Amino acid sequence: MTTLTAPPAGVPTEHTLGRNLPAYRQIMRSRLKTAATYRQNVFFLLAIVVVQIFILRKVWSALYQGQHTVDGLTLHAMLVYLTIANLQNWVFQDPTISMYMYDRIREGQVAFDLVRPAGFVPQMFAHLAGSSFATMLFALCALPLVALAGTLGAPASGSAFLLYLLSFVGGYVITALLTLIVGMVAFWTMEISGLTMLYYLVNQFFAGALVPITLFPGALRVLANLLPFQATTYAPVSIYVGRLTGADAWRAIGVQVVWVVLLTLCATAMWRRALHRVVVQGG
Amino acid sequence: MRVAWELEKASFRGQLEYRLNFVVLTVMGIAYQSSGIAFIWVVLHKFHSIAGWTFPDLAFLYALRLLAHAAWLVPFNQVDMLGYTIREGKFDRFLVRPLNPLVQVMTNRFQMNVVGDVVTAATLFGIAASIADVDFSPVHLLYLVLTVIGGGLAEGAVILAIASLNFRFLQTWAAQYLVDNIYLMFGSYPLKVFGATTSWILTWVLPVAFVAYIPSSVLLGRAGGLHVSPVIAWGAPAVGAVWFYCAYRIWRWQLRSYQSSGH
Repeated sequence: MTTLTAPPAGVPTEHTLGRNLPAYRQIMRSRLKTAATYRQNVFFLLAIVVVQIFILRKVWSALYQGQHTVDGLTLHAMLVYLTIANLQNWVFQDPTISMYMYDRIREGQVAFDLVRPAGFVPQMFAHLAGSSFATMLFALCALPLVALAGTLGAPASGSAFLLYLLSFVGGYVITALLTLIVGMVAFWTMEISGLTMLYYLVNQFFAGALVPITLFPGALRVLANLLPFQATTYAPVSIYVGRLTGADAWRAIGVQVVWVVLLTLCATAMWRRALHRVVVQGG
Repeated sequence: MRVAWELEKASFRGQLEYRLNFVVLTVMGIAYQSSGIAFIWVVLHKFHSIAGWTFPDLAFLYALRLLAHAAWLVPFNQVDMLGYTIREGKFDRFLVRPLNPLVQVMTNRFQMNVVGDVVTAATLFGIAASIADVDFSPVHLLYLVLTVIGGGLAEGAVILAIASLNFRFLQTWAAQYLVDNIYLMFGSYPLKVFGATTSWILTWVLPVAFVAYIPSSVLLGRAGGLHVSPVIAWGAPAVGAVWFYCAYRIWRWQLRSYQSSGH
């Protein structure tokens, strides 16, 4: 049993990371193939997002009712915000990875993942990266449809776009860490489908994908600001449409960095404990 | 009928064995169905109304849709799992037993998140009915009961028809999920928000309007602003029944092309 726990931690050194790169690339490639095989299903899931974007456009247009700006956003900027926020959120979210982890753990195959030279956590990140890349390609193909259902527009300025790209990466890393944490819960509960769904709903709401969190009523806004979800969607997309500029934009990116550090610590601590659980289960 | 009830009870008890799962799935059902009203509540804090509908009106519309949804789910929640049942080769045994295969699908394995759906529907309806301006006359009450059943049938008919395609194509869960979401997302708002064309499609191509928008307009005294005549608005429950009858015919027709996936 001790051999199983031999790979010491989920975070490998620079050296092993380089050596295992071909393995990660292979995982990513197989993920891409899986996504291509199930493209029919992806099409339907994408259709849901497009419908949601259409509904939000119509509902928000009805809400504005001739008002020019609400909370510093024109209707046009608001619609661009909602369109990009929902598309981006869809690209980030990947329920298949936590389900994959759950299956591996429940069926005990996680033992095989653990004895591989590549660390388990990097393996999962490789799965996630491959699958996100596929989703991103689907999203790019769907852009004309998205433009029709919602409203696409140029970023507020050139610097806004560069800051957006930076913040986009931050948002993606935070989402990936959250996905990993939700997936690791399977080591303890042996049931995860309900939790995954719950996480998806909470995330969508508190990420500000339906309503920018500055429009939340008092206490709810305070709560939203304390949670990591706003840093995944609200922050980058607000930078894109020019709602957050200059020092505010940099502060939002700083908050993202803080979340990356906190969630990495949390994931590492969970992973250490999870390893012990595997031994208990196997023994 | 009695056999069906006994089977349903047994499957419900079977699921109760998994306590933690039961709690998580119930909470999820509640969260899933409340998330839409949370959005409406948040935006109406900032804005006054959506297309002339205030929060009590929208809450009533939303709750009525949930009731209809629950009316469909409680007996038919297993239809969602039909694809899985077929792929696992478990459908074969339904065909050799002397009971309508659809009834056997219904009683196969109770999905616990339905409890969350029912609890949310009942709670929200109680709240919405008390804050909205609805005149609960005997005629209205009768219409309410019929429309909840009719609305459930109007939603279920489409789900059942698509699920029937499982007999040929073996996998339709994503399509069912899309339809479920279309009912959930479009069904929660006054359809006129979406413009005339979309309203027409969601009335006559997919019967989304008959689930809650048209019935709640009638009960809230807003039938005058509808895109359909009052006769059709009052006849909404019958529309659901007609749709369901057609869907059942499709089910029977597709069942004939069933091929076992083998063991």
